[in-house]
Amino acid sequence: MDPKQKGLFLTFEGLDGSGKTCLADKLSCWLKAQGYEVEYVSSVGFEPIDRVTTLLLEDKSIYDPYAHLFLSYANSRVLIKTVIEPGIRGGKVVILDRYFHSSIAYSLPLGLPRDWMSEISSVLLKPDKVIYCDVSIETALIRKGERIANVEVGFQPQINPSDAFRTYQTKVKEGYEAMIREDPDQFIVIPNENILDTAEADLITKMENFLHRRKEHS
Amino acid sequence: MDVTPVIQNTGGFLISVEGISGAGKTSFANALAKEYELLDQKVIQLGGFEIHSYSSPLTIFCRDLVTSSRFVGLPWMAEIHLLIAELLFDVECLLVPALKEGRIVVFDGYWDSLVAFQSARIKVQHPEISSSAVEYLQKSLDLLFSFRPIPLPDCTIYLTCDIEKTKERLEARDTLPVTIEEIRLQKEIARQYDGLFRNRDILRIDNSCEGGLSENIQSALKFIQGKSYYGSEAKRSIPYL
Repeated sequence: MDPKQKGLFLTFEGLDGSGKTCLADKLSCWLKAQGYEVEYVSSVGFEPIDRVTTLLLEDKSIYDPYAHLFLSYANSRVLIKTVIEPGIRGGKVVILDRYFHSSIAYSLPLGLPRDWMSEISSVLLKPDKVIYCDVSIETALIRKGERIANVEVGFQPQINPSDAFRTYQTKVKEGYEAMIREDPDQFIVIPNENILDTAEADLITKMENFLHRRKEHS
Repeated sequence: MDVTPVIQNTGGFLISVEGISGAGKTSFANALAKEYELLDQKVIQLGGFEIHSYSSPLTIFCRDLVTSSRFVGLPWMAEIHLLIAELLFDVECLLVPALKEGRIVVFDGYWDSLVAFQSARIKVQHPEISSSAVEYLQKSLDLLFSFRPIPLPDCTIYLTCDIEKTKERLEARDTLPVTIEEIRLQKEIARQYDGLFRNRDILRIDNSCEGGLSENIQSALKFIQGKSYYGSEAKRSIPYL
C-alpha cells in the first residue's frame, strides 16, 4: 500500500512565539509538493473554548485551570471525531496546531498534577509525531513584542507582563522538555532560534527521514 | 411543621436535587428556593435547565446544545469533558463564593447527576466500550477530586418518578416525542442513581404525583433541617471514592 494513501497525524507544539504557525505552513507546502493531501487544523474553533478564552482575557477571576483543561479536551475530542479521524481515514496528513501536550505544559505551572493529566490524556488519539519548535524565552518574548495575552503569562497579576511571561513560559518550557525526555521517539525537536530557513531545512530533513522509515515499516 | 426550617450554617449549605429527566427537579428546586426566600434566607439556584443572569457562558452554550435534541449530541467523551468543565466553572465561580457568603445553594443536578447520566449514556449508546468508558469516567473523577477538593452536598434529595409520567412531562416541556431509546436511557439513569445512592443517607421522594409538590417540599424541609443540625456528617462522606 502506498503510504501516502494512509493518513498521518502531526501536531505542532512550543512556547508562544516559537514560530509554530510559520513552520507548520512551510511543512504543509512541502508535503503538498510531495503529493500529500494536507489539512491544517487550528485547535481554536470549538465555541466553548473561544467564549471562555475571550472571557479570560477580560476577567482572570473566572479562570479555573481544571475546568479549562477539561474544556480543551472536549475541544480535542470534537476535533478528533469531526476532522482528525475522518482526515486520516481519507489518507490526508492532518496537522494540528497545539494538542494535549500544550494543555499539560501550560497547566503544570498552574499547579495541576502531572500524573493526573497524563492519565486523562491517555484516551486521546496519539499523534504520529509531535513537532516541537524550540526557542529561548527571550526570543519568544521578542517575537511576541507588545502582544502578550493574559493566557501567556499564566494569569499572574504582575505589573510587568514581560517578567510574567518569562517566569510562566520558563516553567512551560520545562514541562515540554520533561515530556520530550520521557518519550523522545514521539517528538521531532526543531531549534527555531534565529533563521527560519535553517529551521525549515532541518524540519524537512527530519520529516523525510521519518516518512522514509515509515514507508519501510509499511 | 414543628420547627422553622431556617438553616443556621454560616459556612453555607449545599442542597443537591437529583433525578432522571422529567422527574421534576427544576420545579422542585424552584419551590424549595422560594421557601427559603420567604424565610429571608439567602438562596441561590445553580445547575438545571433554566438560565439565570449569573449562568456561565459555558452553561448557556450547553443549554443551547440540548434545546433542539434534549442531549448535548457531541462525541461521548467530548460531552463528558465539556460537562465536567461546566460543573467545575460553576463550582469555582458560583458555588464556592456563594457558600463563602453563607448562602443556601440549591443545585439542580450536581456531580451525581453527571455520573448517573453519563454512565447510563455510555452503557445504552456504546455497549461495546461501556466497561472501559465508565471506568475512565469514574477514575477521572476520583483522581480529580483527590487533587482538587470540591464542596460535597450537605444533603441530597433524589426525586424518583414513574417513567410514563416523565415521558408525559418531557413531551410537554420540549414539544418533542420521547423515543424508545430515550426511555431505555431513562431507566438506565435510574439504575445508576440507585447504585450511587445505595449506601448514602439521602432523601428519596416519589415525585410522580402532580399535586404532591407541596407535601414533598415539606418532607424535604424537614430532612434538610435535620441535616443542617448534623451537616458535618454529610461532609465526611465522599461519594465517588
